[in-house]
Amino acid sequence: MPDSALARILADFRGERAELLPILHRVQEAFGCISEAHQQEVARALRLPLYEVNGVVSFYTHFSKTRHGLPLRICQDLACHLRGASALIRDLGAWVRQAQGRGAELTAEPVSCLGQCDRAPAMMVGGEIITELTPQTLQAVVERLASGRPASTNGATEVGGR
Amino acid sequence: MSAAGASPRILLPPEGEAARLYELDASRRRGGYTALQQALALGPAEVVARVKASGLRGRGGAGFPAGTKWEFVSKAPDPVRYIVCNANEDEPGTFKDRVLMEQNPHLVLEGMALAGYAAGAREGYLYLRSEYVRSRERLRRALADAAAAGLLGDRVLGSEFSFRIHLFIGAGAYVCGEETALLESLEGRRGEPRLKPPFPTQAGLWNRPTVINNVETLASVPFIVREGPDAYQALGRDGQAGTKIYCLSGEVARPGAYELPMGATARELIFDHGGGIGDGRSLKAFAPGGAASGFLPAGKVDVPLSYEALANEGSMLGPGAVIAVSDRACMVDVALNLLRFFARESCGKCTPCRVGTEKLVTLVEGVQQGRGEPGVFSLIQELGPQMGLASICGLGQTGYNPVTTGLRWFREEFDAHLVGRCPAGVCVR
Ligand SMILES: Cc1cc2nc3c(=O)[nH]c(=O)nc-3n(C[C@H](O)[C@H](O)[C@H](O)COP(=O)(O)O)c2cc1C
Ligand code: SF4
Ligand code: FES
Repeated sequence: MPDSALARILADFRGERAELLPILHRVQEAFGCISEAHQQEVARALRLPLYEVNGVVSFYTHFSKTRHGLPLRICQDLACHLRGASALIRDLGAWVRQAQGRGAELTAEPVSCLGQCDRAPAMMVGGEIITELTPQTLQAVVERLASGRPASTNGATEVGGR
Repeated sequence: MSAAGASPRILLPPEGEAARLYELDASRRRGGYTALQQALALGPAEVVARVKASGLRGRGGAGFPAGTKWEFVSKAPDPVRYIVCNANEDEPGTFKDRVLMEQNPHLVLEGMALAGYAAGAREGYLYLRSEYVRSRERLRRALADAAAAGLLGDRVLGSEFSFRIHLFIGAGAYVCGEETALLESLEGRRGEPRLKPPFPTQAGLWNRPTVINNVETLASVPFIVREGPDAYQALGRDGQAGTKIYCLSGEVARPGAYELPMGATARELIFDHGGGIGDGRSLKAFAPGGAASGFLPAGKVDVPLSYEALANEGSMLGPGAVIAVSDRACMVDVALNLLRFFARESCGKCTPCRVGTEKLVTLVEGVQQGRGEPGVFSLIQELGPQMGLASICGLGQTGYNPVTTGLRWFREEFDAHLVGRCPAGVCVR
């Protein structure tokens, strides 16, 4: 049974292999994951074997096969590490578990460098970059998200560079 | 603003000026797209000649001469060719391309169009990592504005030359910055590097001759075409050509992206521009060229941050990312952090890299936790270079540097861990 929302996404494309990543981005965005059923549908539309689509979905870290809450991506790499990211990552894990206990659909996801090393430590939630994190600002982010509000009050990242 | 005084900038907006160069009008008031206009009169061969004569080398890491690459493709027998701009920028400590795309997106697009004209390509792809949300917004708008003004698209500036640029969004993989992995990804596949040869200039995107350049490399070209190769050469120091956007991060007072003459020293960057190490601490070590370059001790801050000078120190310029480490940090801990990055990002296509990066993490974790066997350091010093020789792409070829350079310069600190002591007091047992 084709998913009609997915069919609408696929209708925006010509059905070429090179469109696979753009399509998967749209699916991930719309459903929060790229399920087995979605993959079958995409494979059919692009006339690709399922294992090809599956292989691509599992290769890239931004695609997930199952939905597990809004990911709070926090950088664990060196520039952030040198500015206290390890402790923040431990804190984040604890705060997210508490929030989950209260029914919030969030997950803590330590990730690779976000390219915000000049404003370390950095994290990304949805389309929003949050930089120069402290334990206080990080906890506030979790609290806001857990109560259904946007991650930060000050919007996206500032333009860096001096 | 900077203590070292103003040095000429050709990539980032002038210091202290609220130049909204990301807007087409402001960009054009400052000469945006005039190099493209000039190029159309000069002809493709002359553009290639100027880029070759300028001495411009790749800013993505490998430092290959840009003009040579363009010339290969311009002379390829296949008439269908592509330009690819590499904006995957994912190596810890590196963010210069983000700053450049956010602040001066038209310069990048103009550079791509110049590459297209010179190499005889009609289409270009800009491969942007997905986390660069603001870059994406600015590039989208810049592309639309430039197309509406007849600067891109069909018959650029009324000429016979047509050039279309597609923005392609990555999906989270450091290895996709490797040029052939990037091509695989553009074609809708897993981002696993190809075996070379053939090189992308021979068989690149969809097997067509392809120029792949870094964002900063391409953005350097408009100046070269407009002002000439000599003017560009003169911007660098000691025989180095042009300017370089150095990324400064880590334990410094003022991290940031600083455009300086190519060949500036780490001392100028860290102390004059970056304000030194904060909190009364002192500099202990620095990575001169990103995660893969490994570390140099503080005593090397006067080495120019250039291709040759760093190679002479057994290191590399890479994308030009300096990560400063203070005496508060532990080199074992710092090396382990980088080794974990490479293990996490290894694509697993070749065994020496997949197994080697994991093995190094395990060994150094053992050292950090005071469980290191006496022979562990010679094992690491053997394993690293072996992995380097047998791996097919730069990740495996360099990913061991953090620990081998750590051992080279900070051996006592590593040794201390074998007897259960962390001199910096960082490693917990
Ligand atoms: C693992 C790996 C990651 C890389 N990431 C990037 C990157 O993010 N951006 C980039 O321009 N070059 C990157 N490179 C270098 C590219 O393979 C290639 O040399 C470069 O894009 C060529 O452009 P240039 O000559 O203008 O530097 C990477 C190389 C490796 C091995
Ligand atoms: S060296 Fe590592 S990252 Fe590169 S192709 Fe081999 S496994 Fe993949
Ligand atoms: S190391 Fe954290 S953003 Fe680059």
